[in-house]
Amino acid sequence: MIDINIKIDLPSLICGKYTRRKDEKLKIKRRNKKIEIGFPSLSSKEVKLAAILLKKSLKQSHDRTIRETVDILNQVYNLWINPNYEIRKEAEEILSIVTGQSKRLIKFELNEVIKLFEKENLLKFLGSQIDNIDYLDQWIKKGDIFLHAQPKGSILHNLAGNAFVLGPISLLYGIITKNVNLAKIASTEPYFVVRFIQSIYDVDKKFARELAVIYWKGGHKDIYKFLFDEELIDGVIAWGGYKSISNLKKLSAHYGVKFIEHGPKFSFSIITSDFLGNTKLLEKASKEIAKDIVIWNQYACTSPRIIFVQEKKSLNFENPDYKLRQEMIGSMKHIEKNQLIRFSNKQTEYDSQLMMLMSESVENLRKVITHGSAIGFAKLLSIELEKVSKYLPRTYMTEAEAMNTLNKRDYYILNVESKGWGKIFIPSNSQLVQNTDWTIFYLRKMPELIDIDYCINRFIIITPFTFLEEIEEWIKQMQIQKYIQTFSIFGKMKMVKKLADKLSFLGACIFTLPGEMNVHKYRAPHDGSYDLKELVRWVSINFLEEDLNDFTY
Amino acid sequence: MVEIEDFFKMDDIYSIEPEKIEPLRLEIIKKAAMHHFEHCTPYKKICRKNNFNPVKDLKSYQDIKKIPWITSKSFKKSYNLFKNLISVSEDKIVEWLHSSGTSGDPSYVGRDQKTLDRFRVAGTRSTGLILDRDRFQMGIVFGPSPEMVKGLTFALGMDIWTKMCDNSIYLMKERREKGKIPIDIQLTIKSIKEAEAKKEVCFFGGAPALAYFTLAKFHEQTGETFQLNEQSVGGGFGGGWKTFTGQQISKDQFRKTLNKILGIPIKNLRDTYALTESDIVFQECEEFVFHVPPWGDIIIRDPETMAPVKKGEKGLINVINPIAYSWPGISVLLDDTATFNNNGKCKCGRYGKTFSDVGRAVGADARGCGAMITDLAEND
Repeated sequence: MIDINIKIDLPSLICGKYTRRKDEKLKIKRRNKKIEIGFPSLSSKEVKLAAILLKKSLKQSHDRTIRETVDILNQVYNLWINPNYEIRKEAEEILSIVTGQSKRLIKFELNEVIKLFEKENLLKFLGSQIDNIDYLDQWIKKGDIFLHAQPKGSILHNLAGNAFVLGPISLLYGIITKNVNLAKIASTEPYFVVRFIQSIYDVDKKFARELAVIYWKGGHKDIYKFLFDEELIDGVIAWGGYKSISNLKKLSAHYGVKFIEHGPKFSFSIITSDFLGNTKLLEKASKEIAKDIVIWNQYACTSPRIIFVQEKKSLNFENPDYKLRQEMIGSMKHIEKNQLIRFSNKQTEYDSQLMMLMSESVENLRKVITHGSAIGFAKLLSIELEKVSKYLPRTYMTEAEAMNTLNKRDYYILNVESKGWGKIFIPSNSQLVQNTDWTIFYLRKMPELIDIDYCINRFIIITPFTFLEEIEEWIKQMQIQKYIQTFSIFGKMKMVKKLADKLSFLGACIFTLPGEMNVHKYRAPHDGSYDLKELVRWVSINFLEEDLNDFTY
Repeated sequence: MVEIEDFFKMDDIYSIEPEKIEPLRLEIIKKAAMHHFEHCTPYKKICRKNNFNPVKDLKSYQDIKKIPWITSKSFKKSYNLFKNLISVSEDKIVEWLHSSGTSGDPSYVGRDQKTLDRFRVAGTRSTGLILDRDRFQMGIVFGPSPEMVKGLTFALGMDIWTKMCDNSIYLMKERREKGKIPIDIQLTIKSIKEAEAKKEVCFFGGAPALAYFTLAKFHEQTGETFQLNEQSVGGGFGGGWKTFTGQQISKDQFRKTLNKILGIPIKNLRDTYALTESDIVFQECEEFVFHVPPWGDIIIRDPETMAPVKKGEKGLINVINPIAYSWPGISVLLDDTATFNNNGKCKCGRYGKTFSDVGRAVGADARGCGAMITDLAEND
């Protein structure tokens, strides 16, 4: 095997100009491939200069029509959609090493992002979020007023590490709302956004004056302070880690600057009992969920961590008193065989209902692997993950990633499976001792917080549930309401709406079909809001021409 | 039927070609694997999970790569499993040896008298046979006395090495404090001067970073150097290559500095690879590669496929340890990596498997926009 050593010197992009230094280095090694990315770390003075220069370009950005901007971005789309575009070819190689995903998967993900820059899609996106894109250029009559969307000004994009598509997406939001944009890249993935914006620099040098993509050390607290203090920032889009987001949020609130938060989130899948027993549909659902798992290797906020499979429809009680049901659910979790016998001697209505639930629960626990059970679904998913790993494989794991997967497997085998709480599914390969491509753990009880963290890098937990309330209760008990985002739900529309209502009331905001968790729909809000609307100032003339005529008459 | 203790008694053990010793080693590996399979329920579960039964699946030496492993992390305190990872009844455990837990999560391994006895003999033999010497007149340890850190694997290691010395001095008298070298410098210099004057053959052990900084600082301040007996040896370090600030000291830099200050020949400054989750101690030879003693084995595995790597390739270390009796250490996959060098004759003239470039498994700390509970908990 030939060793591949790649060295890249990334520049800082400041209003159409390049700064080239190697103050920082990101080094990654995957088997025979080694990469070293050097990039500049700007001083406070340099950041300040970049922010001042940007502000000066705001008028230029304001005066360009939105259709001209869309045309420029469409040229960038045309460059990137070409598989032979040199920067794209380089990006496929580099991103594969940085993220640990195969080139095929990177190509797939790149295409998804690039599509957003296509003229038709941009107009669709703008239209769905701003209603009428002309609001961005002129005063548009709306009822008895004229409405116009002015840019906020200078937007700071605080970017996250390894979700490489976030940089271009975030900047796109700022660009198509006619703002000028300052992106702070993450030291863990400095590459893609720089290369992408370099293409914009190549397409239109004048337009490049409205963009800066730079890095400075997070420890430079003074930089954030003067950016706000000297009114060099008018809005913030923050991605990534909780800590950096919460610091920036406090600062923005202090200075009264608009803050759009895209913090860390979790996503899940739910298979309702609506189609249990329909093997064909379940096979399809498992195929689609496998796709959701492998795209981004579960590092995205939209990736599923836990799959909840409903094993039995809710029982139709005469008295569906919620508290009573909750008590029953609680009791069910601790059922022991001898308790069952003891309970059987009591004859009250409550007890007989509880008994019914308990025996059904026991029946579920003893259920053999069928497609109508969570463990059966785990089996189906294992087949699909094996297949999808062939056509959307990962690239070589780093030593630490492989070790992490093996450690997690041992944890579940020794700590959970051995106590009878579940079963592990791993790829079968007769020639090798173990293959770390993917892992499924069927967990017979509701997950704990640590289980959510373990579900990353093609590692998924499947857990059964009976009542929808169990998932609600679990979210509350885990205190993760603030962090839940996307749920794929497989069930009839009536059930989907019912579940979506309960879950969105708790905090979730996107509900998709299995296989579409990572698909961005233009009309859908992101994390509960429409970002483009938030990046403009809505201004109005509160009278029409006829009002003026009336007035001056 | 060969017993592991028979291996310890053999004198010329590093001069036997691998193909001659492997059938004998297979016997003791199989015996150990069967013992853990029968007496440790969690290990049996792992074996069953891997469709492995030592009775029928260990037919030739090539089959040892099939022995299912336990990951070293399973012995961490946080996993709360270590008490179940024993192959004897709990009352037989003499000591729960543990790592220092610098990461905040120490490993615990239960050892009975039989395992401890084997550990001591094997440790002394592997060091002695590679260093060509098993007696020293003086032991100078850059670390605490075994009594001070009872229960730590480090203490057992130091106990083994210093039992090879007529007289031993422990230079760490107090617990570590941030930014401070906790070594008694006056005692260090006094001991070295005494050994120099008496021309005693010394054994230097302990934490290499402590030795390096203590001596380098002394030399920087005084310019003084020593000329110890050239048969003196630096070894038995067993980790601790990082400074207080997390900076790694290169072995080359370490050897050059100690050679300059103490006068010990560079070829005598050799590292030892030892850890809580292994009873086998690996000693560097004068070619600076680690030798696997004949009573155990290692398999370096490709992190991607987990298949054994080829000569010259790097991978995760899987220790095959038939010494372990009270705990299922027969096959442990470590968080460490190494390069597989050879399985034949080393340049030093000894036979057996060798490896080098030991380090921690590394990789990108890939984080996307997906939340991690651990991050949220730290900041809530």
